[in-house]
Amino acid sequence: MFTSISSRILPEKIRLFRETRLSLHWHSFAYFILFLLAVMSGIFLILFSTGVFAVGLRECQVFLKNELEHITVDVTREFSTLSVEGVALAEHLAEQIEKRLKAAGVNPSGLKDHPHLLEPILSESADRLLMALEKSKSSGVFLILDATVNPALPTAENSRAGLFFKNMEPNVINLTFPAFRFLRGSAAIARQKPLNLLPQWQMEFQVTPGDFFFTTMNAAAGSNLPLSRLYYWNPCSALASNCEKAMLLCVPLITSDGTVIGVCGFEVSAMLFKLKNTPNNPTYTRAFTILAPLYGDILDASKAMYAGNYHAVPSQSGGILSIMAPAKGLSNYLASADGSVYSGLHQKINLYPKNSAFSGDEWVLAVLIPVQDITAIVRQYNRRFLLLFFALFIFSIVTALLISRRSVAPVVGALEMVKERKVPDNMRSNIQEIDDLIAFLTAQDAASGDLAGLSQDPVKTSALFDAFVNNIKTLSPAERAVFNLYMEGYTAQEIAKILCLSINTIKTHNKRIYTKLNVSSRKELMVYVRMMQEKNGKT
Amino acid sequence: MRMILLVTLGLVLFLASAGCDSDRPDPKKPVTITMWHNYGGQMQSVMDELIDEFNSTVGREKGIIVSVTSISASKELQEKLFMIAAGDPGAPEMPDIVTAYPKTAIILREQGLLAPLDEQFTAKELDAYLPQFIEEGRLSDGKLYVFPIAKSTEVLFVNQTLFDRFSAATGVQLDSLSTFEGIAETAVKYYEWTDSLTPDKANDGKTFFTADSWFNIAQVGIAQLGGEFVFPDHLHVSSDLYRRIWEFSVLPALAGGYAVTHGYSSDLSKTGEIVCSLGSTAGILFYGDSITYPDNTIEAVTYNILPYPVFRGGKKIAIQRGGGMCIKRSTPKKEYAAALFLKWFTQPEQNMRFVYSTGYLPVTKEAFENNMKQEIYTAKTPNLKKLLEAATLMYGEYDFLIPPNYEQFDGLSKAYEIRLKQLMSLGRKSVIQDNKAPSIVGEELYGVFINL
Repeated sequence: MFTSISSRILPEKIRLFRETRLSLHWHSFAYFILFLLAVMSGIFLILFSTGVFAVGLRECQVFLKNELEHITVDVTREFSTLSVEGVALAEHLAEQIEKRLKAAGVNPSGLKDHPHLLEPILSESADRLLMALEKSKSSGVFLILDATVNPALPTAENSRAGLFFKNMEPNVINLTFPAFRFLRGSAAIARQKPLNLLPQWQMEFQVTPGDFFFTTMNAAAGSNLPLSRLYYWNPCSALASNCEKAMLLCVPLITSDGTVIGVCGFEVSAMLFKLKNTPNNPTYTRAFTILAPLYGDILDASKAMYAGNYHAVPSQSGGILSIMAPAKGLSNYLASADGSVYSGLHQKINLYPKNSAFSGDEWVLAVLIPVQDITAIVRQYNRRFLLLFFALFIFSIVTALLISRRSVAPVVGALEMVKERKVPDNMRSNIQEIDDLIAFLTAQDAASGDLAGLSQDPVKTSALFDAFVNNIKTLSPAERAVFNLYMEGYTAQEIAKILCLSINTIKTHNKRIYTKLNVSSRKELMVYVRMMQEKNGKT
Repeated sequence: MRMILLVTLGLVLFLASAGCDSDRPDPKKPVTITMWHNYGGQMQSVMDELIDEFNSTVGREKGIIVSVTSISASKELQEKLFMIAAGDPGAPEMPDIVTAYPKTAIILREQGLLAPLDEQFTAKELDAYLPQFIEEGRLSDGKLYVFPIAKSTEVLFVNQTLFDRFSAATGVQLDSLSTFEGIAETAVKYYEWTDSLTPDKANDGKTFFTADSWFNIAQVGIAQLGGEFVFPDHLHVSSDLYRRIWEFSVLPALAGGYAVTHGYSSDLSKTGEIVCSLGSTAGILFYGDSITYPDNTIEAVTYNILPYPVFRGGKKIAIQRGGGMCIKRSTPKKEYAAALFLKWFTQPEQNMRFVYSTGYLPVTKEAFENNMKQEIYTAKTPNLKKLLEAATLMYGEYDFLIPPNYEQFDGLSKAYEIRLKQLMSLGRKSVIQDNKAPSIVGEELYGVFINL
């Protein structure tokens, strides 16, 4: 319906438009605009083909790539350094504890049966742990012995004696007053140091099968691997309710006879990870880093460390991030908890050396941005371009209007003057064609004036006509041929064709004919021709 | 033609203005506000929840992201701020919002690091807050720099389980703890009672009481008795009024009734080494609900929270504690964003959520007058319920002492605390080793103390 109406209306509109008589100004404007549109379309195509409209996306890719690169280097270095320091700490502590046990005449495997030795052992180990905490870039250090101070308690099975010191300000250089606190261990040891207890303080660790303690202990038990292949990085979790989430480096304490007597290691708190590894870019304020265990194409977000603005972090309460098919150079990640999608890049990270008991555990470091943020940034970039383009377009229209008006103004002015017959003498428009036109019209007017005088005086007319007829004899044959064709009513163009001459030759002949016949214009010539024809017709 | 020119001019102005940076945050280009606070441990989860809520509601709408970059004890925070103010090498960058006390704020303001907050609040907005809290945050130039978000006072924490056991054996009643003199007498009785439980061991009685700040007891106690303790360059320790403070503070300690600790009183409470202590309401979460003994046995206990004790014949006066939030002088946009967060955080709804989970007190009149009683019934733990009851009672009956902002205040209070504890420990040793009467040792020590 609409098509049939438009197919009828459109040609009609075009016809009407064609019939519309536009002023010289609007003609000129239309030509300018057409030209500018063509130029701008060309520029637009060039920008499009050179990918200017994908600048936002490209910048985002570059940002993500750079951030991922340097954060991966930092994280690898930090975790590797802590692993090395943890192994050294475990070696030292195991040796020290073994000596103490030997002095007490106890075999390492008999530690559980001598709970009275636990406090002196832990007290002696405290200084070494505090020193290690001070030197390391960690938020905590711990030691858990595979024994409890009171085996008679009903909770003894899952209770383990140990120490856990926390550094509340691991990112601040403060060697004079390090902000150490006491999270686990005997209160008497805390007072010796002296250190304040944290609100979450408990005397012993509560362990459960399958947790970091048993995972590390079990992997080490009966293994022939060196200590550097037996440490374990426990994914991000809280030690107990109300404790801060953290990753724990767990290194087994193995005595010279191969007995695994406990676990020690360092803590990397969620806050420390955040402070060190938050992507830094004012444009992508919700960008964040995630260090997560990888299972196939799935990142376990519930066990991940995050660094970025808090509210942008996905799945704080758990869930997974599924890696989707890459698009436009970025990978997409779907959060199972709330269905939100993130774009970014990821890279596998090695937390363990080759041949480690845990080398099968895969970890991924990713830098992600909520997908809507990237879309918004790209749109913002393009909007800027389009706005600029629009401004250029408006500027072009205004310029075209001004230029076209200015360029036709002399023509329009001259025409107005001609129409009103107010052309001043010696008028110069500085436009050759206008000046020629005015000269031509002036000459015509003069000739018309002469002819008008001619028709009013019969005697004068007869004399002039006779002179004209006599002068015809002075014409050369070529001029005569041209003149005869004028007599027959041909125009200059037609005469040139008939005589196979150029128009310029005809013009030259005309000048000579006018001179010889004493006429000033074609109009005057034609008056005499008509008079000759009338006379011949009468005779 | 004129129309065309106007349109062009308008377009040019629009494009020019598009490039200008406004003083207000833009939701499309959020501004990140860094924050340091001292609400760690169990308080952290509440703080995190509130910050998260702000970021995902008002923050998202206005273009503000609050990012916490440090959580540590107030002592450490103040030390870091002093480092920043002094321009120490290794000092961290100052955050946009930070917990600070007026005495720290004075130093930060002198270095031009703080933004005055009066410009960010209308008179009507400021009028919604308790005037004494606002006044505490005004510095010498009369401008507001320390904005109250949650305040605290001191209360008496009593381990009801241990006290009942003692009370059943000795007949001492809880109301004896309403005065400082009563606490002193009870402490000595408790020591004697616990010592008597093991007749074969001499001097193995248990301590009954300690305080987080002996200095606060002195300044509030003397205020209760109508005197003045702290002067710009000294503490008035030679007065008759101070003599009463000394007798309360030192004599029971020499007799073994007080614990002398360099940590918090809650640490001793967790291990059952004291029965009651004076501490900040905000310390409530540190007390827990159990005692862990050295053999790892754990005993469930209940706490009672009593209003601040008063010296006999004295007025009911308690200390007003708790810092506030300062805003770093930065850009108008960041200062506005930081102030907007503080306004949101101290609205009664948010403020009460923080209060009933942490033991702090609200800062607006509306929250204090209308919400507190209601919140008592919804408090998360019995301890919090008792705390809110005690605090409500105190704010109805007590006057509050705001510590002065003298330059030497910190130094004087620290020196007082150290010296008093040293003498208490030395004196106790002297009592045991030299078998001297506490009153005699106390007299000797007083002579030493006032001449230090």
